[in-house]
Amino acid sequence: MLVALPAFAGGAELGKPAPDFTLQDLDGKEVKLSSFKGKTVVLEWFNPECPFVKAAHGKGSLVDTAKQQQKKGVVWLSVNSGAPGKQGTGVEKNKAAVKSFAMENPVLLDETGTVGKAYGATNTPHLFIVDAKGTLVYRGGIDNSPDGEGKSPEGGKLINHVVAALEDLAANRPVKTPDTKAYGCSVKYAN
Amino acid sequence: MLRQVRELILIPLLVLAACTKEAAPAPAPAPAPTAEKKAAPAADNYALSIEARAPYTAGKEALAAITVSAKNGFHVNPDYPVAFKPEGFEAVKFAEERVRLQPGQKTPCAEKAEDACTVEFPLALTPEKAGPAKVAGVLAFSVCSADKCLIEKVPLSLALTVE
Repeated sequence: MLVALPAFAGGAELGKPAPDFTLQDLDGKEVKLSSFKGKTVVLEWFNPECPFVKAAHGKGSLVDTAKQQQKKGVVWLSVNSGAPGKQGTGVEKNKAAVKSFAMENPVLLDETGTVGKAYGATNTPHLFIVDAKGTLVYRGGIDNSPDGEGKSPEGGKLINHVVAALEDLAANRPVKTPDTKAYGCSVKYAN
Repeated sequence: MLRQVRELILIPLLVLAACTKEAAPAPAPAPAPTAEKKAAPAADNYALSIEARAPYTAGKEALAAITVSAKNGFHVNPDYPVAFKPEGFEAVKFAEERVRLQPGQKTPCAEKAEDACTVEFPLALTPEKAGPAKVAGVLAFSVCSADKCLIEKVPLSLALTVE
């Protein structure tokens, strides 16, 4: 459930403050983005029944990526902006996915889609990175292989765009590739 | 059984990469031993065919045509990297172990013209010798509707005779 809301329209802009939000996780605990100021935050738009999400978490670039980044101090939040009744929505389905994908990060429910639309999230998976100052520094796909499995990288070499961006941030470099094309399922907004 | 030119054999086996409940395949018809006749593994949301594009000459690159037809509100996902992974083929060779297919002729969906409901993907192959040969492998593709996407991996096979 959305507890508080952003007054942003048209999607979040790179280099600008990331829209703040407060959402509840699968246990009803409120999670507020701005409470993580000082840390790098990754937002992963999520739908446990989207086959691209399944592929990415099952054998593609999302396997263990969140866990590895969390060990480095990165905050990783999955966000499900699907409306009630749509594919992959509801606490139980998402809890089951957390278990099957062995996820250790929170999944936040954004059933009104307000946060998803504030960021301009169009796909699952769709990734956004907010730096320690609260600035949006990356938006796009998890990688350059739009099959979700990492088997068809464009240009022949698989690149995990999110890991690359996080490496840039960790090294105090500007993110070299801040904007890539997201691929996958559409976000199942109410409208 | 092979005849003069080519026969078509399609294996009606579906391998679902995901969403197993979403795309239960219907049983495919028995192989049609008639040259150039298309047969199609079919599911609720799509149908496939693989068709010979003669002539086939030993050592000379040629084509087979794979067609993905989405139905029941689905369209062919234009962003998915459609690929053919050769497996169990005989007397032909392919350029890669996993052949990325580029879309050819497209037919717009009746209900939404910006989407393609039928897309043909030419598959390049080179027959190695004269006589019977078989193109076989697994096609990976995706179809989507407003409600969901499917990623499918479906075995296809095409028997042909090389001159």
